[in-house]
Amino acid sequence: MRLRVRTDLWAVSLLAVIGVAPLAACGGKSDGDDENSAGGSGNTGNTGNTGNTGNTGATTSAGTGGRGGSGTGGTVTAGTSSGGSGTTNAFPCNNPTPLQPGTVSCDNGVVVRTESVECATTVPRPDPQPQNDPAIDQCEYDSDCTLAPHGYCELSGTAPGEPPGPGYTYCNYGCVNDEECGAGAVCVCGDPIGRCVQASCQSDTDCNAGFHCASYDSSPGCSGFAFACQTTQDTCAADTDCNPGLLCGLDVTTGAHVCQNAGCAIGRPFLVDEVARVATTARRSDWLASEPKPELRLRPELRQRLTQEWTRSAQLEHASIAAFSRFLMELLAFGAPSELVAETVAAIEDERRHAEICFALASAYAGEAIGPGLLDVTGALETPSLARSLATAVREGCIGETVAALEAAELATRVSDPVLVDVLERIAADERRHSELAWKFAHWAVCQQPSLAEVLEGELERVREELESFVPGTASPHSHELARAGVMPEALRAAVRHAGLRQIVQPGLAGMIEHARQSAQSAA
Amino acid sequence: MEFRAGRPFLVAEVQRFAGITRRSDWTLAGLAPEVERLAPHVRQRLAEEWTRAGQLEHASIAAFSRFLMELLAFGAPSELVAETVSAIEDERQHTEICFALASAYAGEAIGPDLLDVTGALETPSLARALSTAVREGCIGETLAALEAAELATRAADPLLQQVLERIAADERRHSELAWKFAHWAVCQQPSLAVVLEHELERVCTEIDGYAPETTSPRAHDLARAGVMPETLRADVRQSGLRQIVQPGLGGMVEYARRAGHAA
Repeated sequence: MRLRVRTDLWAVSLLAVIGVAPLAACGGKSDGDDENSAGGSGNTGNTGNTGNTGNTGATTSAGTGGRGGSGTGGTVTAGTSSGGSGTTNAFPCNNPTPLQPGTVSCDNGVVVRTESVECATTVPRPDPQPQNDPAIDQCEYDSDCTLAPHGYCELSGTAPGEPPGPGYTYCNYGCVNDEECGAGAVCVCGDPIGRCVQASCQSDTDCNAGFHCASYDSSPGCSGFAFACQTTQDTCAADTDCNPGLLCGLDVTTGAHVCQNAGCAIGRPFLVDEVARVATTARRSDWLASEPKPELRLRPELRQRLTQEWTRSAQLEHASIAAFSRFLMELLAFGAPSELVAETVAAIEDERRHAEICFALASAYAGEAIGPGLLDVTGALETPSLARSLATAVREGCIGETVAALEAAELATRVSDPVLVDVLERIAADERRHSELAWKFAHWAVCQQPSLAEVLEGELERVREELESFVPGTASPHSHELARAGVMPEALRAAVRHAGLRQIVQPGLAGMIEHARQSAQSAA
Repeated sequence: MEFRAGRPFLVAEVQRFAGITRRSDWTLAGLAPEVERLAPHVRQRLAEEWTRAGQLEHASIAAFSRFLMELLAFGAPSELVAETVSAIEDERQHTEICFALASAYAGEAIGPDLLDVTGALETPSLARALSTAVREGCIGETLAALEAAELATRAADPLLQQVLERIAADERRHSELAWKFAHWAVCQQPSLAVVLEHELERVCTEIDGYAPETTSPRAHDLARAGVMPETLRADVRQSGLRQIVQPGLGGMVEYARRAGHAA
């Protein structure tokens, strides 16, 4: 799906706010794209983010799904088939169909890496890419992209399966084999060339007998997929194996494919030890704004879905109150400018109102009062460290709220209920201010201590890794209906996040790093 | 001398506030108190008073921020959350007002330095939060509101009157918020009446130990200039504890006991 929000213009505005010049280039790294794999002959598939699993649901840890048992018919043979451990793969690949060289797609949408192959390439292509905005377009021909091997010029602003639309061009860098991607990644073939994707296995032969080198959501709810061997501890293979609101990701401690909460949504995430915390829910009516009265003449399953979505959003907005409260205390500890303090106080009030609005919508769709339960704030305020606060502000604000603002703005353009349009537009405007606040804080922090550019470099690297592993989702047949009803389709969510990271976060961080370097040099 | 302004930011029962530094971003623009006709020592005293008030109002922002996080942890009513958010903004504005006045009297920009918030947020406990709310809010802000209201009636400079009246009105709302929280907390857990009883005992001890002092001849001049004389402050405190805090805590203890029995 093509994005309707001009993230590029937001970027210009944001960079003006923080007073740094945009740096579009990001070294020689691959810069995976979402919206336009250029109408080519095949996307590399997705991991099941096809709109019917939302960023919803409860507050707790991963649920389980698990269909169990072995599949029927045509399962692809996996592993080295040497007797193995005698355990059965509960999530075999049923009805595998060839996807790209070296990969197959299972009937549940999971992609399996069957072998390591040499990918075909048509880069450099002789034809130019359409130009839209000379202020933003980075390239016209593949030959303009020379920072690394296999450079090509890609067009943003369109999603697979849709006609190209207004966007801008940028340089991307591909691969033709696994070796080019280095350790921890494989080259997934595509058009016009393959791209590097995170992977802890190159193919099924790296996995135990009967288990696959299978895809998972590398950033549940956000975007991207990666590969890892299935294990006996897996609780899912695809998002459809999980309870509503959960997505199939990877437990980094056990290496198992497990159902996880979607990590990307509205508001400033309240991160404690890098884990986003939200309150439980409770039956109570004191957190309901009186204002929004949405259209309720909807199919029951759609109403249920909207209940889940808005409950989740409300939980996140509610947690944002705590995130900003903590941030406020840290600002005082650092002796930050009064302007930042004032904007943070205003943000707390914004998030409080958002929580009430979202709980009111959730309650209207549910037909019963829903409000927040208890929020765990234990360990949330450590001894303030400017470096840690900067990293948190980048993740919570520069990334989290930038994406949240974009998501709300994008959905507002698609939803049919005018009540929801108003709500989403208001939330988008507020979240955008909050993201600007985070950028301003980051700018102030590196001005105070130019050595903190290291922190930004670390965060930028994380962003690059996410962008590199991104593969666009495919819009499900229900995506448009969902979006019209007010539910963000996963493929669209992923596209928005990718666009935000690429057009706003990446150049913003790069610009600030450059600014910090210059400051350090002039100070020396 | 003990200054009162805003909600004290207590960590392990010790009041914290930031140091001061030369900066102008924490001063509200456009505040111009009468300065020229003041004696130098009065000006200096006013600079000190308003600087300390600025420091305490600034620390109140942290006190309310912590309180807000605790309210979320307890699942407190949205009304309390909303009023706490408003209080944070009030204290921020008070800080800018106080530092603006301090800077005007001092003749140089004064603002807050770093505030130590280390260890300020422990694992929330309703009993501890109640105890803190009683000390910071039910007592601290009740007295702060009374002091400001009292001084407003005595200060000669109309600008100071206006500022003090506004601060008094805001602090009064904040003290009401603390009382509402205390009431909610004991409704949730009537056994918390013991916390209130303990606080009430402290208050009664202070009231019993009060010995009024003679007002100095300079006290009226100081008050007209906008400085709270110590004797007047002590009187206001005694009055507030006796007429507001003691009966308030006593009533809540009784309420909690009845609720405990009914349960």
